This record gives sequence, structure tokens and C-alpha cells, in this order.
Amino acid sequence: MRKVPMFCGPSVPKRRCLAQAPKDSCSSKCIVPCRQLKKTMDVGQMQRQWIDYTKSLFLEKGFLDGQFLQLQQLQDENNPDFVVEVVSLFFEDSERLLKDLTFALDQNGVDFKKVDAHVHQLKGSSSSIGAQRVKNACIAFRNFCEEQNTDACLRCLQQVKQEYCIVKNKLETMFRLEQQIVAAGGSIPTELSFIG
Amino acid sequence: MNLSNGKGSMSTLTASVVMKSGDAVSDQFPAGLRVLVVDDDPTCLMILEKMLRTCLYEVTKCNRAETALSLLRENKNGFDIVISDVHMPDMDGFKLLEHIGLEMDLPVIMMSADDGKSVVMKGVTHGACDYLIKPVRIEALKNIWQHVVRKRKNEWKDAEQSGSAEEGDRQPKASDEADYSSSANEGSWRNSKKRRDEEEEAEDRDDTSTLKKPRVVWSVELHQQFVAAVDQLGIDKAVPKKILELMNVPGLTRENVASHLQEVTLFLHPVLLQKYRLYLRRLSGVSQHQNNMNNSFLSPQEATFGTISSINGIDLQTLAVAGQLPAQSLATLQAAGLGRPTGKAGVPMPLMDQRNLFSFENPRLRFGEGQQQHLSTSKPMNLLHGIPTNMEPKQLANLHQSTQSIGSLNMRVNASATQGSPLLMQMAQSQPRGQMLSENIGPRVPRLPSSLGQPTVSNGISNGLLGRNGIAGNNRGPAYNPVPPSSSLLSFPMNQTSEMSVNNSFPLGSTPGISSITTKGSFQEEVTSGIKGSGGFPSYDIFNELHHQKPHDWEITNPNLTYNASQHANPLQGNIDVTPSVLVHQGFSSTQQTGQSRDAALIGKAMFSMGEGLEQNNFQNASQNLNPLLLDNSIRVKAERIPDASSQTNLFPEHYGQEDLMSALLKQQEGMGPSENEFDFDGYSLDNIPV
Repeated sequence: MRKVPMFCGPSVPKRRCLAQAPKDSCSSKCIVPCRQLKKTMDVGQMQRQWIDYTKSLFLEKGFLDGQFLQLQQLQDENNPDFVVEVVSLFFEDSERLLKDLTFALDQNGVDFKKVDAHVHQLKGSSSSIGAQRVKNACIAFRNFCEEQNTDACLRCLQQVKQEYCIVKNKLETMFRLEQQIVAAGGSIPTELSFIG
Repeated sequence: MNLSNGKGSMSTLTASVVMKSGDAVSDQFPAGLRVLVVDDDPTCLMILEKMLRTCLYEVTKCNRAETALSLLRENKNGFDIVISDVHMPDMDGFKLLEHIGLEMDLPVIMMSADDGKSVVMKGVTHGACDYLIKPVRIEALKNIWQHVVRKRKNEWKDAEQSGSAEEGDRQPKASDEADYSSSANEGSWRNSKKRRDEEEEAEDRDDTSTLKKPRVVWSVELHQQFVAAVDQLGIDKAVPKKILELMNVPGLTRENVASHLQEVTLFLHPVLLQKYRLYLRRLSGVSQHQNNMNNSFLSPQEATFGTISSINGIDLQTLAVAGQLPAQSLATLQAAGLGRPTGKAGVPMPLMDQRNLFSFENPRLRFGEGQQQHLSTSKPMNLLHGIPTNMEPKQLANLHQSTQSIGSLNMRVNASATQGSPLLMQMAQSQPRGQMLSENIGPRVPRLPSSLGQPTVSNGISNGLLGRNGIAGNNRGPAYNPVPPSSSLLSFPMNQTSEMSVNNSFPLGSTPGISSITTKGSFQEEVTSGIKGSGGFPSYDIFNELHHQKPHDWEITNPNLTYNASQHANPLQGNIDVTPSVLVHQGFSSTQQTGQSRDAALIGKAMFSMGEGLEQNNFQNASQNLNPLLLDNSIRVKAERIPDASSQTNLFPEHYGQEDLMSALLKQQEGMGPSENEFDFDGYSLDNIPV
């Protein structure tokens, strides 16, 4: 399985394909390093890459869960960008919530109810798109909110932010892969049966 | 997408039309279901919308509860079901749920990322028909149409049950329902559904209103067992499952218990109770003696009614605004009240809409379903336990029936009683939503005494029920006693949780009050019966109107009818401040029974849908269910009235309400016995009602 370099950064360099495609089949940029020398990043390959990558997101690390699959299944020709749209919405909403959380916990008198409300919402939206680790971090966060433990809450906030950053990165990577596939004339595989 | 099968216009859904159209439409159902989604989380909202669209539903989304409410209010028939998040910044999801239930009586599904048991329970108690845990999967959404169907079905069934004149009533009822619930472009599927229901019901009809299906008849004993179980468990823990276990009655299902619980709670709805109480007060001013209910009642009643009607309108409005009275209920009540006399389907319709006004899903209470009669039939006898109205035996019976039906637990108030009080029937039918006690009640019963309020099925729902009734009959005497003899007339024990926890829910109509009923113990059944009778409970208005029309000499003015809703502490928490007078009014008018079960219905309708029972000869049922309390006092009401009542079940639409209620109450107070035409409530003595 090809490993896709991961890092929580603003963007992944577009051109990471080390293999030089002899033919001009690889018309779009491949961000996944190809180990095989004689690599033709044709559509089929890209699709496989995408599958692998997605699989890793789910199975290996649990960044995403079955709910994400549901979203993918909702996507159809009428709404070809549904997943991207929803996830983008999630990103916007989450960033706002994280900002509010940071602000709320920065106060002298922390309003835990408010903090809890924000975390609850973040938990809801992350679970709706299947961002499992973010959701789990939120659950832990809520427990500390109940205890009104500011320090622990701050730590949880950090944790949530980190998880969010990671999953955001992964999703963006995945979307880029998808774009490449589509640009190359292929279609995104819809069979993700490996997800339980 | 509207499923329009292109046949017939939806708005005038007559039975025949329904019959015709249906097929094409039904095939498409549930596609086209109009869903309103409310969630402040944009991500979830978008996902839900997409999922619902995939299920072929028509989706409207909004991210604020206020927006949702105004959308719903502007377009009363524009939606079939609502899905709402629990945690929202501008309004708590449960509050929205209550509003919707009260005003529009639509099925509401709650959802949240929170899966804690207490939250889920809260959803149930507030009347949500389902609770989804986020993340919501599309599979969960695929089946939400069942809630719509169930609600409608129950309404229809209730109507059916309660109306003794089933055949005749049913048809109009069905159409009314159809009309009511479907907007012009709606629903062909709805229509077809209705039609199907109708057809089903038609078949059932043949069997007799009373036992289409194996229904549990909540006899006094059974009810007392129920009450005991609830008491033992404590209101908070009184879940159907446990109640069932404690009762240990072979053959009884959890669902039966759940429905019964619901009915009782409805009956005890604070709004209902309060209204009833006010009504009683008002009436008491008018007529003083039960025995003369008929005559004396008439005049005062009319005057009262008139006033009440207007008041009702106002009250209802206020209540509606306050979220207590569903706006629709209001209209419904009014319509019911007014409509009754004319017997038009119009009334039922509004009621129908409100379908859930009263009942926990008791369509029965909703008189609107075109069943005006239902109200009367279902004698909410039980409810009016203490009402010293001269409820004729018939009325009482009606009430009784109503009450019973309220339970939807097959408490079918006997057919006779069900004059079709839609309310009652609905009540009976009300889907055993399990514990949605308070929910249903509240919203639905627009005018029902608020005290009917929440299903604090505390001392046994029956208590609540009885309480109510009993209260009214304070003066009545012994039978009533638990109820503080305060308000004359039906002192709907609206918010008084005093002894008669009946207040709680005098199921005027769909009385949510059932909950309070528990206090009194065996009230419940009665209440339900009562409520049922009035079918038209949902809207006070109806009652008012009812009163007027019918010269029922509801002796509601009996002081005995102390149904002081107010007095009786409303076990229901809801103390809705509905003018009891209105309620009473309604209820009482039913007792008047102008030869119609209406009286019974009124009572029932109004709040206790007791009226229905009274009217109906089903009084028996009612009486049976009625707790001793109720019966003793209220039932005493003229036995003779009952015969009249039986004829019409239309309590609701006419201003039966009051009379009926009164009768029901009175009857109950008198201790209506199972005898239909005469209230012999031997067994029911208020004393029995555990205070």
C-alpha cells in the first residue's frame, strides 16, 4: 500500500509523484508518491490509490467512521460535490467553534455551560460527517466541562484542535486525489465495502 | 413533491373521493412526505436534508426554532412531520416540541448527539414521537413516515371508535380528516392513506364500534391496578413496561399500558384542567343546581357559552401564544364548538388538524376529525368524576367512553358513548406512544385545562382523571370529595393537585391531563372516557360553541361540579392558564345533552371529554372507568339525559362541550355507574380516589 505522506499543514505539495510516467497517461498531478518505477498513473491506478488512502483513513487510524461512508453514498450525479460541500461546511463551522471555545476558556470566569454547548455542537457535527477521532476528543472534553476543570478543558481543547487539524488534512488530501481522478476522466470508486 | 394522484381535490376529501383516489397515491407514499428539519448545526442540517431528499421526501430546513415555528404557523397544513434538534441556541428543542404539539399537533422527532437516558426520556415525556441519536443514518429516516401514518390512523380510529353512529359519522369524519389534514396540493398520499384507513375502519365498523380489535377495556379494577402500579413506581419511573410488570395482568400488553398512561396524562393536562376549571367556575355562576342542569343550564350556559366562546377564542389565542394552547387547537375547539351545532365537518377538521391536540395522540379527543359526535360519545365520564353535572347516564357513559378511548388503549368507550367524540376516540386511539404523556396532552388540548397538564401520572392516572371530575363535583358530595368543593361546576382540577389529581388531566378532549389523573386513581379511565366523548376537546372553542347550541341544561352550574380545575392542584405541571371556564364550558355543554351525546361530548371535549361519555350510552364504559370519584358526583346528572345524548355524538362540534362536560362531570360525580342510562355509580365513590 502506498503511503501518503501526512502532515498537518496547509496543503500537500501537488506534485509528489516520483515516478515518471512514460506515457502521457498521467495528465494530472499525482500527489501520491509512486514507488514503482514504471508507474503509469492512469485512472485506474489513481482510483486504487484513492481507495487505499481512504481505507487507511478508516481502518488504520480510525480518522473516519461509517458515517462518512453514508455521506459518500448520498452523493450522486445530481449532487456530485455533496461530500466536498458538506465537509467544507464542517470545516467552517468547526473552526468557528474552536475559536469560540478558545475564547470562552480564556476568560477569567469560564462559562462552562457555554463551553459545553460548543463542544456538544462540535461533537454533533463531527459525528455527522464521521470524523470519529474528533468526536471522541469532544466526548472527553465534555466530561471535563462537567467537572468544570479549566486546565483539563484546555488540554482537551488542544487535543480536539489537533485531531481536527489532522482529519482536515486527510480529507483535503482525499479530495485532491478525487479531483485528479475526475480530471483524468475517471470516477470515484463507490465501493467502499471494506468499511464495516 | 406532492403526490398528486390527480384525482379529486385533496382539500375536499370526501370519503368517496378518498375511495377513488387512493390507489395511485398510495403507491407513492411515503414519497412526498413534507418534512421540516430544524437544527442549528449547518453540517447536520445539510446532511439531513440530503438524506431526506434521498428518501424522496419534501424537505424544508431551518436553523432556528423561531423560524420553524413561524413557518409552521403560517402554513398549518404545510408539513407532515417535524424533525428537531434538542440543543439549539434560541430555543430549547423540547420547548419547540411542546409548541408544535400544542399548536399544530404534528408528529415531532427529536434528535441529538446526546444519547443520555434522561434526555431521551424527556423527549418521550414531552411528546416526541421518536428520538434519533446523531449521527443520524439514512435508514433511520426512511421510516419516519410511520409516525405520520400512526397519528392519522389513531385519529381516525378514535373517531371511529367513539362515534356510535359510526357509519355515518365515519364517512364524514374521514373526509373531514382528509380535508383537514391535507392541503390542496398535498397529499395524495395522505388522502389515499386516509382512504385506506377509512376502508379499514369501515370494515371494522361492522364489528361494532367497540371492539374492532382486541382492545383492552380499562375497567375500574384494571384502572385501579394501573394506578396502584404507577403510584408504587412513582411518577418519574412509571414507564409502561414497569407498570405492566407490576400490574401483572395476563393478556395486557405494554402497549395497552402505554396508551392508557398516555390518555391519563392527556387528561390531566394542565391546560385542560385549568380550562375546565375556569369553565366550571364560569358555569357555576350561572347555574347552581345540578339537577336542573338541563334547564337551568341552558340559559346560563348559553350566556356563558357565548362569553366563553369569545373568551375561548381569546383564551385560546392567548394560550396558543403562550404555547399552551395550540393555535390550532384553539381554532379547532372553536370550530368544534361552533361547528357542533351545525354539525359540519368543518369543526372536525380543525380538530383534526389538531389531531393531537388532545390526545396524546388521541385523535379522539380531537373532535375535529369530523367527528363531532365523538366527543359526545366518549363520555369522559371518568374525568368528570366529580362533576356534579347532571349528566345523564348516557352522557356519563359517553364520558366514560370518551375517557376510555382516551386511552386508546382500547379503552374504547363503548361505542355508544362514542358519539363520535373525536376527541375521545382519539384519545382512545391515541397511539400508545408510550409515554408521551405530557406531550400529547399539552399541545393538543388547546383549551383543556391546563391543569390537565402534564402527565404526572402520579397517583394513578385515574386519580388525575377522577380528580378532575371529582373536582367539579365538589359539592356534589361524597363522591367527589377529594376535590375541593371549590369551583362550582366543573372544577376542573386544573392546576390543583389537590386531592383530585384529576385535575391533571381532565381529558377534555384529548386531555393531556391524563397525567394528573393519576392522582386520583381510577380517574384515568374516566377521564379518558370523558375526553373521548368530547371528541372535540381540543379546542375550547368548540366547547363554547357547543354550549350554546345546545340547550343542554347542563347543570354545570352545579356548584358541585366543582371541577375546579383550579382547585385541584394540577398535578400536571403544566398549569396552563386556560380559562377553565372555557373548558368547563365545553364540557358542560355536553352534558346538556340536548339529546345528544353532545353533552357528554362537551364535557369530554372540553376537557374531559367526558361529555361524550355521558351522552353515550356508553356510559357504562365510562362509568366503569370512572373512578368512583367521578362517578359519584358527576354522574348523578340526569340519567335521563343520557338517552338523549346517545344520539349524538357530536359533542364537539356543537357547543356541546360544556353541556357534555357538565353532564359528564355531573354524572361522574353522581357516581355514574356503568349503567348507561343511569348513573349508578355504585362503585365509584370519590372516596375511593386516592387523594
